[in-house]
Amino acid sequence: MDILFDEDDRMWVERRSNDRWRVYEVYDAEGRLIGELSTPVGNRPRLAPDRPANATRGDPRFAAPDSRDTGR
Amino acid sequence: MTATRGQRGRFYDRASPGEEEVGRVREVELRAAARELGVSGVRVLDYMDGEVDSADPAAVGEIAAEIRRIRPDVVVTFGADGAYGHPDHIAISQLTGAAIALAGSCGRAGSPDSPPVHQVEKLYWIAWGGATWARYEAAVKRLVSKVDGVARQANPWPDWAITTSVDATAHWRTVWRAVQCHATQIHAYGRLAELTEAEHRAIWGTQEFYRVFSLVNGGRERETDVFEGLR
Repeated sequence: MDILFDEDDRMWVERRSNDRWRVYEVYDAEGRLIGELSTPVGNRPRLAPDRPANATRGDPRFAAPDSRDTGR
Repeated sequence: MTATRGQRGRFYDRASPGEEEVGRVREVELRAAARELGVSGVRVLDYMDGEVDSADPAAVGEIAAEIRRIRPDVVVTFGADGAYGHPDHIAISQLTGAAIALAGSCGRAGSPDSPPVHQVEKLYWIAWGGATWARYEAAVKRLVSKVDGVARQANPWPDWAITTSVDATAHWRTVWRAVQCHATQIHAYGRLAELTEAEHRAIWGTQEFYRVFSLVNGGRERETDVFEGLR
């Protein structure tokens, strides 16, 4: 996982990835998750499954990206 | 710096869940894309999508304050054509030009707490030529919109008017990763995900600009680096 911290807005983006997905989590200055998104690795069209904006760490929907891969 | 959250833009191929939700998701996409590009700071001004051209003139002061705070040598924004006639893009081009003038003006110091005057050294407009637009529209779609009853579309800059062409070929994968972050927008462009590597390289590998002003260099020779004269 790597992190980009925005010193001005005190917000940060965490990115983790495997060989199929990159997952980004964006947090506000209070550490609240304001949203996340998944993008496919490479050029293959692939639908990322929906996940709720209020998902939190430990939520099973935040498990390894592969487990959410619906494919297309 | 971006003026809006794109609250009224498309949301995948679904009905909009509302401006607030679309804006939230698109800000997440923007920040994720910035992370891919290595942009260390993102500032989102809170203007409404589609209404930047009717924003209060105070917007100029807001942008100028950011320029004084960030103190950039180079600023890049949309051109007078708004890339393809988008009213928000045209408006932000005008506001940015005014803000650069204000940020460097000693006569409008603002409040005692405002950062000191800052002079931007170079201003660029995005200025894609015919070949660049042709590659992009072949991969995405022809960009046409109707504003005040008049159709607007991308009008390529004449080759002779392009002052600066940056070879970004080595970074095309980075650009593509950033583009992919805008998932709500590119969902409609399925062809993008099917392009070959060579086609991706061609689309993202060249970035063209018009040098609106420079305090550090000039001449007709085409630049290959927006920081020419500053390094």
